[in-house]
Amino acid sequence: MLHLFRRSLLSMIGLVLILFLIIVALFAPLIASEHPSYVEVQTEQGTTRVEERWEIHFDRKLQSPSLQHLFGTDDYGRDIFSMIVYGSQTSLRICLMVVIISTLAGIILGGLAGYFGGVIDEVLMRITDVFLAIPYLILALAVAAALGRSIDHIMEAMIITWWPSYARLFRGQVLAIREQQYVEAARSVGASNSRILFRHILPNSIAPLIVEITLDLGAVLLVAAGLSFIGLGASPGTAEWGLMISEGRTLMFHAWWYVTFPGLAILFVVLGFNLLGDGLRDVTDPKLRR
Amino acid sequence: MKTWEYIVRRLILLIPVIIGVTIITFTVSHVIPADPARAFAGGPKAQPEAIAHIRAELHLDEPLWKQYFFYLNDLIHLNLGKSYLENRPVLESLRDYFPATFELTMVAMLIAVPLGIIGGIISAIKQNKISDHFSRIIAIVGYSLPIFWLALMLQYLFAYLVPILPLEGRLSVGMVPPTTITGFYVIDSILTGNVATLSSSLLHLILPAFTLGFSTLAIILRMTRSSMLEVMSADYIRTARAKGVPERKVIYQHGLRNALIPTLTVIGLQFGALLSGAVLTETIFNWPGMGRFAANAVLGLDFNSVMGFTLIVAIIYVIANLIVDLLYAMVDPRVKLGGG
Amino acid sequence: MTETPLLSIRDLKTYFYTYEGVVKALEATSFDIWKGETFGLIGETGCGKSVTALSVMQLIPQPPGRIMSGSILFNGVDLLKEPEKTLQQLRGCAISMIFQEPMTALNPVYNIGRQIAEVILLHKDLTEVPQKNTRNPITHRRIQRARKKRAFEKAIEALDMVKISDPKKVARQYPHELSGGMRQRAMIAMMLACDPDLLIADEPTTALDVTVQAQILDLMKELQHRKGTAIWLITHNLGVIAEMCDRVGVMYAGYIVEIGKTEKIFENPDHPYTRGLLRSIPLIMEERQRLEIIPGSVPNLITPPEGCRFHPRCKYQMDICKTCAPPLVEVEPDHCVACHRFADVKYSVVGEEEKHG
Repeated sequence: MLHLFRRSLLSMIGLVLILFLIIVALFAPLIASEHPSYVEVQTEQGTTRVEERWEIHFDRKLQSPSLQHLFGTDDYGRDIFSMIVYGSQTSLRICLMVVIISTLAGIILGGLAGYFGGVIDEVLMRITDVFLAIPYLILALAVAAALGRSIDHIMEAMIITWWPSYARLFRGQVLAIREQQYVEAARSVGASNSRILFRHILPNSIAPLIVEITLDLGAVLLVAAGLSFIGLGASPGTAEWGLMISEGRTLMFHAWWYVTFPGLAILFVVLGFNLLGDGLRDVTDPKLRR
Repeated sequence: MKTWEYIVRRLILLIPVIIGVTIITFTVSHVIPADPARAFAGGPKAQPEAIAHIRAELHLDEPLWKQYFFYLNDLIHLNLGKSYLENRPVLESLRDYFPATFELTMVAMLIAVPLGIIGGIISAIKQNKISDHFSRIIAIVGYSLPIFWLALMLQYLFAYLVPILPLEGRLSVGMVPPTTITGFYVIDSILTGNVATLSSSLLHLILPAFTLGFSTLAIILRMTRSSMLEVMSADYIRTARAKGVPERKVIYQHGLRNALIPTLTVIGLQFGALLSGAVLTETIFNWPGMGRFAANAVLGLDFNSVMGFTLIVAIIYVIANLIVDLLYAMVDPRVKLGGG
Repeated sequence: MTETPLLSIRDLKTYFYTYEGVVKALEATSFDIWKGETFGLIGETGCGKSVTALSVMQLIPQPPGRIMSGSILFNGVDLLKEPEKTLQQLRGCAISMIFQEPMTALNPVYNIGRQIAEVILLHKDLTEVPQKNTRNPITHRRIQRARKKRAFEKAIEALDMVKISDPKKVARQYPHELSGGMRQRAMIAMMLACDPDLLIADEPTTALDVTVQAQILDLMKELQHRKGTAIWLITHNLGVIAEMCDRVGVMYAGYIVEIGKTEKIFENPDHPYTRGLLRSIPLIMEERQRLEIIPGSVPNLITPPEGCRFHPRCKYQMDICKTCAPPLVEVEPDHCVACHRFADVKYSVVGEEEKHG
C-alpha cells in the first residue's frame, strides 16, 4: 500500500503539506516571532510586550514584507507571518472538530439506519434529503447567523450542515457490506448486532470514509474561511485566515501582502488535504487509479 | 412513463423536502436565537417598542407549533416576511435581486461547462502529456482555492495593477441600466439595441463570472477527464475501432456521450456551489444580487431575509437537479424516468 | 485453396511496456489463413491468442503495447506498413472482429440499428441521387439523410440475416434491453454487414449459455457458407474447434507450437503441450481412469523461460530445450510442430513409460 502511495508524487506533496501544517500548529510559539495578541515594542528600557491588540503601532504599521517581517505587517503593526502561524491552530481545530464530530454522528445515525432499515432508515433518509437540499455554505450561513458571531458557532453550524452526508455515505456502506458473505456467516454463528456493526461493518467501510474525510477537511476549511470572511467567525483582530483576508480587503491596494499571504495559507492547506485525499482514494480504490 | 408525468411526480415529491426546509429555517430563526424578536428587530440596538411590535407580529408568545403554523401560513401566501434592512417584503427584494444572480451564475456556467469538458477531453486523450499535467494542476488548484481570495487577487491584478477590467458593479458608474425586460443586463441591452450598456455589462461580468465559475470548471474538468479515461478503455470503444470508425468520431461520438453521463451529475450538484459562491463573489464585486443581499442580511441580523434567501436557494437547487435528471434520461437510454 | 493465403502472419512480435516490466506477449508468431476456411487458434488464457488478433487489427492499446517487428500480409498487403487511414477502411469492411463480451462490446447509448448502420455508412457506397424536386433542392444534408435512412434499412436486413425475429423492433432497442445471445447476434450482424473477407471471432461464445453457444456457432457456419468469409476462431474450447475448424493452431506463451489440419492434430498431436491439452478434457465416448493435467501454469511473460517456453512444464525436456527455442518444422504435409523431441513424443516412449510407472 505504501509503495503505491509513494509512486504518486502529488499525494506525497499533499502529505508533506499537511505534516507541515500540523508541525506549524503544534510549534506555533517557537516558529512565530511574536504572539498575535501581543506586540513587542522597542523602548528605551529594552523590549517590552504590549498586550493591547488594539493599540496601533505607527512606527511599524503596514510595512511591506522584509526580513524582519516576512509577510509584512497589518494596519495595527502586527506581524502577518506570526498571525498566519497562529492562525494554523485555529484552522486545524475547526477542520478536525467539524469533521470528527459530524463523522461520529454520521456513523451512528447512518449505521443504525443502514443496519436496521425500516422506519428508522426511511425517517433518517428523508431528514438528510432536506439537509442536502440546501447548499453547505448557505445552510451554515443561516445557522451561524442565528447563533451569533464566534468561531465556536461557526463550528456548530458546520457540524449541523455536514453530518447528513456522512450518514448517507456510511448507510450506503453498511447496506453494501451487510449483504456480504462474511457478515452472513457472522450472523449465522450468532454474533450480536453491535458486534457485527463494530467488528465487521465498521472496519470494512473505513477506507472510503477516510478518503471522504480527508477531502472534506479541505472543504470545511474553505467554508469556514468563507464564513469568517463574511464576518460570522472570529471576532475582529483574531488570528484567523479568513478574517485576515476580510480585514485586509479594504487595504488591498495599499498593502497587497495583507490579503495575499493568508489566502496562500488557505490554498496550500486545502491543496494538501485534496492531494492527500486523491492519493488515498487511488490506493483504496484501484479501479480509479490512472 | 411520460416525461411530463415524471416531472409532476418529482415536483410532488418536492413538497415534503420544501416543508422540511421550512422546518429548518423556522427552527433557525425562531428557536435558536436567544431572543428572536430582538434578532428580528436588528440586534442589541433594537428599540423596546420595535421588539414588542415584532413579538406580537410573530406570535412569539404562542406555543412553538402554533408559531410554525403561522409561519407556514405566511409562506403559502408567498409572504416571506419583511426585510428590516430594506424596509420592504423579502420576496420583493429577492425578486429584484434574482436576475442579477441568475445572469452571473449562468455566465459562470457558460464559462465552466464548455472549458471544463473540452479540457477534460484533451487531458484524457493526451494522458500524461504536458497539456494533461497542466489541466490537472488547474483542476486541483481550482477546487482548493478560496473563492473570495481568488476574487480579491483578480481585482488586484486586473482592476488595479493592470487596470483593464472594472473593479465592481454591473455597469460603469453613472450609466443608466437598460430598460428592464428580462432583468439580465446583457439580454436587455441587446433587445433595446444599447451597445454602450451591452459592452459595459459584458466587461463587468468577466471577473465575477470567472471567479464564480472557476471551481466548477475545475470539478467538471476533473470528472470529464477521469470518466473519459475510463470510457476510452471500454470494450465498446474497441468495437467502434474494429468497425473502422475514424478516431475523432470514436472520441466524440462513442466516447464523449458516455463520458458525459457522470459529468452531468456533477454539473447538477455544482448549482449548489455556484449559489453558495454567489454570496461571496457578489459581496466582493458589489454585484447587486441575492447573494450580496443575503450577506448584508446576515451581518445586519435581518432574519426574514436570510431565511427567505435560504428557502429560495433550496428550491432553485432542487429544481436544477430535477432538470439534470431529465437531461440524464435523454443522454443515457439505460436510465428510465421514475424507474428503479 | 488459392495460391496465396488471405492472411499471412510472419514473425510477429508484440510487447507490452508495463510498470512491472516488458511483457513479451508475442515472440515470433507465424501462420497463414486461407480464403474461406475456418482456422482455430487455441491455447490457455494469457498465451497471446487475443493479442495476435488485436495485432492484426492493430487495436493493441498503444502505449503500453507495441508491435516490435514482423509482417502481417493481408491479400498481399503488409498491414504494418499501411497508414492508419487505410487500416480504418479495412476494419469492419475487409477484416471484422467480434469480441468475447457481448455485454460490454456494444455502445450502451446508441440503439442497435444505429450501431450497425454506422459500419455500413462508413464502408458502403449508398449514394442514390434523390429525386429532383424544385421545392426541395438536393442539398448535402438531404443526401446524408437519405444515406442514413438507407443504412438503417440495411441494418435491419443484417439483423434479419442473423435470424433475429422482429428485426425492425430490435433495431430500435438499446443493448441493455437484449439478452446476451441477442447481443452477440447483433454483433455478428454488425461485423458481417459489409461482407468481410476475414472475420476474427475472439471467444465469441464463451460468455453465453451452452444452448445459445451452439446456435451462434451454427449461425456463423451458415453465414460463412453463404458469404465465403474466412473465419479465424479464437477459443480455449476444444469441442468448438473440433466442431468448426478446418485447421487449428496451438499457441503457448507467445509461440505457435503446433499447427495443422484439425483431424490430424486431434488424432495425432505431436507437441507435448497439445497432448496435454487434449488429454485434459473429459470425453464421453472414452473411459479414462482420470484426466491428465499439465503441471504448472502459463509462465510469466516478463521473464519467460529461456529456450522452449514450455520446457519447465514438459516431461520430455532435455538440455537443448533449456537453451534453444525449437523452430516450427513440417512433420507431415499440413502439419508443423515446434518441438525438439516431436519424434519421441510421436511414439510416446517416455509418455507411456510414465503412464505405467
